[in-house]
Amino acid sequence: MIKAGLVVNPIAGMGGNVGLKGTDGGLFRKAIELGARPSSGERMREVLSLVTRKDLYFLCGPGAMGEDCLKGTGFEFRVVGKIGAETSAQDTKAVVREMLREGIRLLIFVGGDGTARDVLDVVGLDTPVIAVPAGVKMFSAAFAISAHAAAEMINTFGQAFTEKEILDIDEEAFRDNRLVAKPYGVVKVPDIQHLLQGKKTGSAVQGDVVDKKKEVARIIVENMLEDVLYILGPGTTLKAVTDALGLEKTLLGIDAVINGKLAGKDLNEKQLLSFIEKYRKVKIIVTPIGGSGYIFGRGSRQISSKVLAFAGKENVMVASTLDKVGGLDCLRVDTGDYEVDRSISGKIPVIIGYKEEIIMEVKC
Amino acid sequence: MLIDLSSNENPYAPSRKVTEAAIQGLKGMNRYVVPEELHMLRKALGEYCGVGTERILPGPGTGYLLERVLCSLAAGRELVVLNPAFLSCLELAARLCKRVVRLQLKPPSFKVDWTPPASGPALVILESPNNPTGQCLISREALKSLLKNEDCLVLIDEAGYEYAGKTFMDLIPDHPNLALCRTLDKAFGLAGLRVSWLVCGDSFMKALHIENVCLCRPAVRAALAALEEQRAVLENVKGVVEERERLKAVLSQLGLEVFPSEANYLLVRSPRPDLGLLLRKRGILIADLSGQWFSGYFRISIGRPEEHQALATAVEDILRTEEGFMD
Repeated sequence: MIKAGLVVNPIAGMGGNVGLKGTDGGLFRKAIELGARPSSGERMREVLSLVTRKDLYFLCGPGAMGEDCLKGTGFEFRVVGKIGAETSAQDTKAVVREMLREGIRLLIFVGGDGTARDVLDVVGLDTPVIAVPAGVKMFSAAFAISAHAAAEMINTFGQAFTEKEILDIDEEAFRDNRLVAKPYGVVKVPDIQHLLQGKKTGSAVQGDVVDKKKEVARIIVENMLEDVLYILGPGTTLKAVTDALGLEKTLLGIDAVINGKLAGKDLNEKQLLSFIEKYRKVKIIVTPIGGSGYIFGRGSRQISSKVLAFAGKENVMVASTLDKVGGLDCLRVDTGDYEVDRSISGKIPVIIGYKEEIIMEVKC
Repeated sequence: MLIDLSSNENPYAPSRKVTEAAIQGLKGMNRYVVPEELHMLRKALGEYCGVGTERILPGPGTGYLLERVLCSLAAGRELVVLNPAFLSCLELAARLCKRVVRLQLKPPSFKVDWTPPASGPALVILESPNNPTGQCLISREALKSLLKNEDCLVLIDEAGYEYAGKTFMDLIPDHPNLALCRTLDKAFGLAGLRVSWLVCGDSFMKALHIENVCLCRPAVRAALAALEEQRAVLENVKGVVEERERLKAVLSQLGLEVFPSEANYLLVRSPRPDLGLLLRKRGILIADLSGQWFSGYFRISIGRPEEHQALATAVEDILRTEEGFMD
């Protein structure tokens, strides 16, 4: 039997129906006052009703955190962890941690971007997840696009995997009708794309995403010039570059490398400007945010318009994988300085593999 | 039984005469193909295309021929292709070429800026009609402009020529840096035997060992027989084109965005990005393009009327009744 974890965030999505745009920070009590009802459990039951494989044994959260969904489904399960009357992010993390200790091979959870971040904090890239969307904010690419897609991931789990982004959405800004998103991390997700390949379309998919990131890193490292400062933006694509150099990367921050050595870690704008002043020859390498395509102005604000103005477009390098960048209409830049944004606009090559590039348009 | 509308195949098998020719070929399978047989095929293919035999290089499938081109001509060149690309040779290309550059196709216009992104010698490989849009994306003027640069080799895959009725064949004699690729896989219904061929401009002819042909006897015999049945092929093509337009109207009515096509497939955009998955659960396979392109876009090969009826019923069912997370 395959041991799978199942976690429901019972308050996910409650803010949406009553116009609160989220339940982060204890707002769910206000949602209840306004008449919101839990809906995430129903989502999970819908997914479970479409699961056909019989070799699953579930470890689930207590009561509304999973147990209630599994009762009556015919699946074997056991409850792990304890919760109080009200659940919190800490409960989610504690339950998932317990499940990992018990050796689950897959974690299925239902919630929004906030739940996804809590899960990511605990699972990292080790255990694959299936993210069932039931929050108010579900902008992360990690979420399954439908109940069928989630069920198909469960039914075919074990065949192929890919990596998907989890975003950190600023809930305050979101309530103010502004979407401010930055990458939070990456989770491993079962890849159902391969199920839809016909006889001759093997070349339509770009192999393993992790291998592709290694290819991207290899070509970048091979072409690194002496005495040039390389400013590396956030994300796992650029972590592959530091991995290839044998260096440690701040996953969500900006690091700098020169002559194969780390010049600075988790740098802010001021530090970047002083590095630029010191080294003069600079290249900036970034990866676009999945879904929106931002390369500057979201997620890596430390690389400010001043930093960009110094480097110039000719020293901006963009790296990605085809599954992410191929689904984008264009890349975007929004540093707050229109002149600088315009100078970055136009065609730019994006490195997507070893000696492989795609030409994208940058818009501001 | 799965209805496969994902691979751009001809839904109809070739005639009994073609099948019997392949069987005759099988009977002599203990012997290698002799040069005379290959010459007959090259001659017949040359006549079909209206060019001299010396320009024809047949091979077992377009992928094989592209790999031969890459092995002979890729070194030091940048390979330019469109995205999405369905070329099985791209991995090899990344090893042999200076770099591989994809140009992103953007709906709904799919306009391509053909100003070469390559700074030095280049090899441009594209399809006309394009896969997956089904549209002819390069004009004669744009192609001629590309060909003015002798360092830029252009190879156009005209696999869907019989459906679109458009070709650049007349440019071959005057443009050494142009080659076209044709196939009997599609309109002639020989996908299982894989018979394709290059029509080479002079530069391609010089670089490729055109006498070195790799084909098996059943394929050669079936190809020769098929080329004698061009009238029947044209009838088949006419039927596929009519069926394509019928399917286009039906799917549009059901709520899919269907793009104009000159090929034996349709590009559609679905309001449900999981349409491919839901159809697969109903026993119908279509090509999901989201792995390398935009989510919600699918390519549907033209099949038989009864297959289209099943597809339409399933699409209607999905769009009207399926629930999920699409709220």
